[in-house]
Amino acid sequence: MAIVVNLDVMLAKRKMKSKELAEIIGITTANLSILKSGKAKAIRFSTLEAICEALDCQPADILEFKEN
Amino acid sequence: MKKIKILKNIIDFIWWLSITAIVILFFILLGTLTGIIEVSPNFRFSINETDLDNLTKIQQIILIILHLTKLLLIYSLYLFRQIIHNFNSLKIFNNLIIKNFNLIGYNLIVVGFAFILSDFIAPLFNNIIYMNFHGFGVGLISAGLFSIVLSEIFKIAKTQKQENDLTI
Repeated sequence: MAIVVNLDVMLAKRKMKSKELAEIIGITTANLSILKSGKAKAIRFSTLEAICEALDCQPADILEFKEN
Repeated sequence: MKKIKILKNIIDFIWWLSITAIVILFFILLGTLTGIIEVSPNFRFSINETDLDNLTKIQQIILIILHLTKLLLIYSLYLFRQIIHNFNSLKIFNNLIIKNFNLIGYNLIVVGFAFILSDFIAPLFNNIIYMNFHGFGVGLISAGLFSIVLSEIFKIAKTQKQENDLTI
């Protein structure tokens, strides 16, 4: 997969649990799990904005492009 | 949802009516073959005033096959009934619906061709298989093609839904 989601890394850096983040940004833990595992097909700007706000980071800290 | 319930009731009614007729015919056939139901030696089975005994064996087999294709219509009804039941329980984008619409399409095309074929070869059978259903075969083929297209549409819709569900 070309786009890698580094949400785990950011969560570890901020010492935050997935459940807490899910509650803050208002999505279910199941959906957050889909996002973390890289199974998600797309991410809404509103969700990305909420994650960046909650983790105090930039979109590039969460999403990374890797060549296959 | 009320409209689906009305359609479901109509389809259920036609389905049970067809099944009852088939079961009765099956038992009559079974009774005749086993000798439980006595058939008079003078009894002659005829269609369109032509005696069936006058047909050759090959003609009889072709006649049976052509009429058996109509069972596919009842099978299609069964598949459509499954679709309606799924719609009723809000299971719309699943593989069963896609598969059933596809199967219904092919069934209708086969029956449609059987109807058209009956019209063409009717003179060979002393008009015994002439069914007075002009255009019905073409209508069935059109309905079959529409059903196959519908199946493709549902396939695309299922993919779209999956992508939408995986958009976080």
